[in-house]
Amino acid sequence: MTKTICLAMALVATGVLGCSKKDVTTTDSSAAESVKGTVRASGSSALVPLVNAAKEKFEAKNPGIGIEVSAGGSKKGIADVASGAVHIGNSDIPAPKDLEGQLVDHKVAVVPFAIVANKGSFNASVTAITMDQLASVLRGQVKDWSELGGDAQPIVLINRAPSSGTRAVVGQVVLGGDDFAEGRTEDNSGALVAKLRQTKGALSYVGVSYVTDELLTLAIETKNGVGKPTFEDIQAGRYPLWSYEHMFTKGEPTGATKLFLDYVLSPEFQREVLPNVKGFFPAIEVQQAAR
Amino acid sequence: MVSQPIEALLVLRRPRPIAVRRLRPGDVAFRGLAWLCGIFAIGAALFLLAFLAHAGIRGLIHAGPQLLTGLRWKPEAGAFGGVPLLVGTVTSALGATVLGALPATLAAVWVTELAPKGAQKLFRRAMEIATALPSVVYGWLALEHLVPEVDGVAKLFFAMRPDVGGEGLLTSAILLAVMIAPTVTLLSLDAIGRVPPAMREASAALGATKLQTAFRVIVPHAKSGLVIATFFGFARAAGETMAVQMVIGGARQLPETLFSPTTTISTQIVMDMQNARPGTPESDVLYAMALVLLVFSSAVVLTTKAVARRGIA
Repeated sequence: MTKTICLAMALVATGVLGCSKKDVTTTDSSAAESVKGTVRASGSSALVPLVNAAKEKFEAKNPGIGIEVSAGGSKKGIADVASGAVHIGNSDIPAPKDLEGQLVDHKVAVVPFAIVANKGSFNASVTAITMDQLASVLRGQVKDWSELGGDAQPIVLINRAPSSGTRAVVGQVVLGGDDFAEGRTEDNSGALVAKLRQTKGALSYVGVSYVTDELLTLAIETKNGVGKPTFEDIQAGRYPLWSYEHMFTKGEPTGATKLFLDYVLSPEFQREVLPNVKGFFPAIEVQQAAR
Repeated sequence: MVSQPIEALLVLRRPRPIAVRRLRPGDVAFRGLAWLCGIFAIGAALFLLAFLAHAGIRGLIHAGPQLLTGLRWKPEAGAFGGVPLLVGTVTSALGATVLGALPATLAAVWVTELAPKGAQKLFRRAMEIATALPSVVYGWLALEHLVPEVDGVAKLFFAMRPDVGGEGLLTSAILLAVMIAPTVTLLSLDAIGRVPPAMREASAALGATKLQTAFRVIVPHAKSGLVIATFFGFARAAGETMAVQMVIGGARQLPETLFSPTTTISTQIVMDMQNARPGTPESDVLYAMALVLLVFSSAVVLTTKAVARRGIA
């Protein structure tokens, strides 16, 4: 029902635009005011804080449009938008091959991921890890902190569940695919942090919004230098563990959905609002080449 | 004047034979509603079963025999070896039954036969509260307090082996034992409550002590009920998801020791379902595992019924 309304609105809006090409700017702003409706989004729980931040500002600017967002995981967001149940599917991961043709990708933010470990005297001297070392640890070939420059203490690798966007990114960037050693697996970032705190020698990977001082966060050494999960290091290409957050639409967005996505990608939101949301960096400032 | 209303009441209260009584419209409507609800309940259960079977059988065909014989479970790579899941489910539930059901049954015997009067009510209330606690609370408490203790014990036996620790089969079994004990206790209390008081009195009249009465008269008499309570606890342990997922470690492999992380059917369903878009083979195979769990639980229930029938005969 809402979709039909949005479609109708979009048709009206394009009709108006088409008729009066002379004063596009004024038509544009009046079209923005006249668009009404609800934009529904579902998917990645990691993206919800960002959508909520955008929703607050956007709804104040566009009183006729409401934004509804729900969380249920990236895969659900992709499935929902592909089936037409929502207008926007939020996702930490790219669209699967079979849906690539249908879905339009809007890269709205950059999220860094951190390699974190249980803190103790055994790894007090370990501050950075090379990509090769990290790959060996994740594959289960390096099994002790002494091999990374610490004291003798077994590395207890805790993986995220296969559905995790974090696991997908770390696997892709470090291992070139899902090649993690089988072992302890945790589904939930909060519980994972609790386990990292209490399990001696434990090591895992989380979104930076879960990083705390109680955990050891390792810098990563690449050919471009040693980098930490900060905006500066990602921009300079020194830190490889990051990914885009995606908002997918089925075909090119129209009507209220287009207005909302335009706002999310606007310099105003990206530069002024987004940096205040913990764990996100503006997408428009980072080039894919930075990896 | 005074007697008249009472007379009227008596007339009103005089029972009329039900067969002769004509149904009022309200009765007809209510009977219809009750029928509807009954049919809806049966229909919903059948529909659920049909859906599970439909998707599950598709998954069984896709995965093939490896679902019950394969050792590697990695749906994202197309490997659907269900053995680690099955072994994890059965062993953790069995461990829980051994650790939890026996003490629970003995506690029920103690509180009905040997404990001071008045203890029973308090005990029953405490057990009812324990059954009402959400499983995530049990899981959380276990994660914070049981896992570090088990980890300490594991380190005593296996020193520095990284695959051995606080999360694993033993922790899950202990946690499940604690979780099923209240249920088993309450069912045992009911079973013992059904023993006729005359048995107790007869035993006392023959000069038996309380302890002799408890274990030579009451327990044998309530045996089938106690066994049913134990089976019920086992089935509950096999199906528990949330709490187990928090402490079993989630490793998709057979455990090498009691202290090694492994997984169960329900744990794996909850971990993998986000990755399985509806209609994909991954989703179908998860439904197949759910179907296996359902068949397994049904088998336990049927066995229980068989035991109960033999117990009564």
